[in-house]
Amino acid sequence: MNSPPTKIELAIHELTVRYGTHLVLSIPDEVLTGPGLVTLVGPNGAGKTTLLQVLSGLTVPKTGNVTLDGVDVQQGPVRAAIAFVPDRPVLFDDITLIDTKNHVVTLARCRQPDPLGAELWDRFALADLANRFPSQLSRGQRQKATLAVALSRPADLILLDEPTIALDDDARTDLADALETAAQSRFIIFATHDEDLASTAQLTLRLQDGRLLED
Amino acid sequence: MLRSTVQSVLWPAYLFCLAWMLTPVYAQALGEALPISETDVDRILLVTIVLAGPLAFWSGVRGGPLLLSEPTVMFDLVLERGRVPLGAAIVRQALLASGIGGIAGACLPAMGLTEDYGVATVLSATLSGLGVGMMVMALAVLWSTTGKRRVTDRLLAVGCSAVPALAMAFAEPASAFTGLSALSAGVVSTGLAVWRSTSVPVPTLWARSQGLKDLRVSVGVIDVRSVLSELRSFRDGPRVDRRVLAAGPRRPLSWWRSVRSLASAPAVALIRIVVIVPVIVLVFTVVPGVNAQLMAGAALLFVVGVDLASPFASLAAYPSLSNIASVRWSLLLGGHLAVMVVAVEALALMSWALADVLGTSPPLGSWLGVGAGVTVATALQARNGPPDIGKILDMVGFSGLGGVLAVRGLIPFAVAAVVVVGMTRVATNELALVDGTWIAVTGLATLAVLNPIKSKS
Repeated sequence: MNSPPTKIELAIHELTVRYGTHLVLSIPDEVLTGPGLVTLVGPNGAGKTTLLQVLSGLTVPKTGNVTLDGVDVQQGPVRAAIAFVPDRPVLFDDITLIDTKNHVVTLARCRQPDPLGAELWDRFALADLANRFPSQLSRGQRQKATLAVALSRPADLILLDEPTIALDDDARTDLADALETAAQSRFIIFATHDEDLASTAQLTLRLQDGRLLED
Repeated sequence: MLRSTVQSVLWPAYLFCLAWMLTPVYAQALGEALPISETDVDRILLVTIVLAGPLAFWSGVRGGPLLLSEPTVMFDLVLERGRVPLGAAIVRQALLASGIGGIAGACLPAMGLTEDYGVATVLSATLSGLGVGMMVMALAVLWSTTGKRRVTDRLLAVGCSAVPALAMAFAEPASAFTGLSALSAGVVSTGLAVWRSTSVPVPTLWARSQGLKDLRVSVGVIDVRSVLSELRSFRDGPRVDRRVLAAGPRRPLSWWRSVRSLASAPAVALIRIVVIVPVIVLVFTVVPGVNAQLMAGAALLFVVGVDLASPFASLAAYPSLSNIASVRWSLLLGGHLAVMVVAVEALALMSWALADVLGTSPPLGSWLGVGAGVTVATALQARNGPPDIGKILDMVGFSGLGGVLAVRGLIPFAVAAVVVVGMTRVATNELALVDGTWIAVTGLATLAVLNPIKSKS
């Protein structure tokens, strides 16, 4: 008998983010509980990317904070439990895909890639491209590689910004399937304009002018 | 597979050898051509430090070799900040910095500024270079690990790096380096960097890496790896019908877009000039014997020239563009020539000033400068890919492209050979045919073995 998945709590407290004088985000208090699949939707400029970056600890809010299981995401150790994939390919230019994946896995002190990353690696058929450099790949292939590599290390909280950009239909389906499976034990939040992918989420959060509305 | 592995290993080695061969050879020719003695070493080192200081400072401001890229932040830093200086990216950067330092160190014996050319001399020069390289890296790491608001941290970082550097400078006479003091100073600096980097502000560095991404694109013309990789993928890529692609209606627009980018450049260029030129005048005014006006003039020319040439140069960074737009290849060629002329002129002026400082014939210095400039420009041309690649394809087709590009890669060696021969002839009225032949033959052999354009598959 499988043990129930560990509860993951992501809490936002009095959060504001400003770019200069422009208020980008303003979220009083919000508690999200995982595991599960949550989608973040909203028009361009609503603050989706900024929110994901704040949740990942890569952007410091003007006021307030974000905690993962009670620990501020700005604190170093907790970042290891968070995986963030931006909306564009982020790969080392000067090493091959397989080297990049191995580097990430080694740095995470793992012997094997995380099952989610391994599944994406297989589904996207990246083994065929393993010895290529990013510049030898198409935009879509780089995006696939970024997803598979970034998710090769274990993470409790997975944040994906527009993960289906540049992916073909098959890859979108593969990604959605893999995320649904992984969401049984992970907390996955993704921003998207892809209605098919959004429909797989158990909870939809709508951002409008930097404010969070729950559907 | 084996061939692919061998080539991927040997290609960086080729680049490394290129640098290691050319620079000491220039230094050797300089040592033969100019009346430099061991007593001038301190003076040369002083000028070198004055020139290298701002470079390291600039590198530090950009984030140094530590965290220039988003993947480093995303994959390395997020996981383990304490291992930052030991991460794969940092090791690569350290090797690069050490290599550059080593090259500089190897120039001293090559110039005849040490008593003998034995193994011990070369070793000490390499150790010195390694130490200096480590210090430069450490300085950049220390600088990068400070936040915007933490002025005291920055002062501390620079101070921590400067102390071992000063200790090294006074520990041994410049003309008799064993290299151990430099290496020790490098180790101390690196230790300080490791200690400091355990509290790297990740969000700050993430934001910086994103900003730097755009900067890197703009300086992409000197990005060896990506440009070569692009060339290689082009060579290995699917054989598209260029007649179809070249007929695309947007080609002129893509060119004009680059030119239009100049619209925002004048203000930026003005700020650069206002900031850089007075600083150079100030710095060189306090260094005895340096013609500050000439150096400032050279800097001015360089800044303005680079700004003016950058739209053209940016096109040269896209071999795939030049491939598909063969009808526009003359524009790209013009861009290359513009960059080349500017670089050569600026270097000629700088070397004239340097020759003036060293008390030798300015024309001789300019010969060196022009030669170095042409070598650098042709090396850039070779690695950026020929601007007339579309034309070459028309002439020799895909199968002949690799050979033509390999021959193009020889140009820097050929120019270097001519310059060395010319300099030596000016100075001693004797032809240094041995030097020139050695360079050319070595370059030919290297390229024959390591031809980077060959398929990786």
